[in-house]
Amino acid sequence: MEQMREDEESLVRRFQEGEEKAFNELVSRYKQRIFHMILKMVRNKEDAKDLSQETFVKAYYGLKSFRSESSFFTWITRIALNLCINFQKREKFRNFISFFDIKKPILAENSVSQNVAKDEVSRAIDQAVLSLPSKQREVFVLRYYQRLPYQEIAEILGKSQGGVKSNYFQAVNKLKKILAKYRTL
Amino acid sequence: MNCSKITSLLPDYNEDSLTPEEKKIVEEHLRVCESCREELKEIQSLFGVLEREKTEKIEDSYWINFVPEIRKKLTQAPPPEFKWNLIPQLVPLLGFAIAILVAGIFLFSKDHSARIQGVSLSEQTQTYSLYDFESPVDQLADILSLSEGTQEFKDLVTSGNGESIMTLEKVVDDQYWENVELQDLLEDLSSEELQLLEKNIEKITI
Repeated sequence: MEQMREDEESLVRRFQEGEEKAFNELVSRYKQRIFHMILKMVRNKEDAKDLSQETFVKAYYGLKSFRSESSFFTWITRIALNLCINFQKREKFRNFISFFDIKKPILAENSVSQNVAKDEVSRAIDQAVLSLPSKQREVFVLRYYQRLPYQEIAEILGKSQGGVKSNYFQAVNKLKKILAKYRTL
Repeated sequence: MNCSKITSLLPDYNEDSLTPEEKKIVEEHLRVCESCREELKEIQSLFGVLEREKTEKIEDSYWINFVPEIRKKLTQAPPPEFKWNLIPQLVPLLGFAIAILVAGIFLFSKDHSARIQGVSLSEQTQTYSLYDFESPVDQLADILSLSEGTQEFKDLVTSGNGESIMTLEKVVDDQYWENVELQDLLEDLSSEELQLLEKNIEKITI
């Protein structure tokens, strides 16, 4: 892990010194991880593809002034999550959902045809995760799908570990109720 | 350790990510508490459902073309610079945006003023505004239904031998962290406000 962090810092430094290939290497290292995290956040493959690329485009412009106060992964994860949240706010507005109807899960319009291919349980999980408040959803995705330790999640989100643990517990509780119908025990 | 604390540890217990000490405490409690055993079954069942989620396959061509596509986007759309000479053309759009903003403020104004008074129109619990309290510690004590001066609050924020070593994290971890109001507070605070709260808690002395 230490070695990886050093390599990562070296790539960032080399990019900042003008080596464009160093950025390509960073993209190659993290593209799958970032994509899968975004996919679990927005629950739509085509949107996740676009948002993943947008994440790295944003990262490209921001990386020149990145100061390595956190790891590159922490930093780019934050970019990706912000894009996801902003994307879903825009989708909500586009679908003319009432301002007070903020708990309703929103899937992008073109997700319907894709979700036909998914089974019922996967669709139910999509809806359930999307119905989580954004902070709980971020923590849940980072903890359950990305398997990140609480400390790292707290660093990414700028929260305390206790707050992160609380968010995760609340998310699990909500999902337990929403998905009760599919539980077999 | 009480049931509320145990249940808060069950998701991590299920994923075998507790410390050995925590795991031992949970297992001892589960031996004697049927309610928590039921809760664990429900959590295990939930994670069983989540494991059934199908992963969508992403075509190899997407990954192969990922970096070239990024490069293409970078050459096609450099970061936008503000074009001052577009201001006259933007005026109608700005007018529309202002109208939407005013409508939004009007719609939210009841919720906003209620929030300042410490009550939210949220369908769930009250949310708290920092503006109602003299300090974040004061607010934390209020949420925990304790007064800053009480022995119980002092016990909460100091160690067993009376030294003030408490951090916000320990307060949240030890008790009440499934308290929705506490969660709301933590969510509402900015990073700077969280840091201030942590510093103030550390300063509490007997």
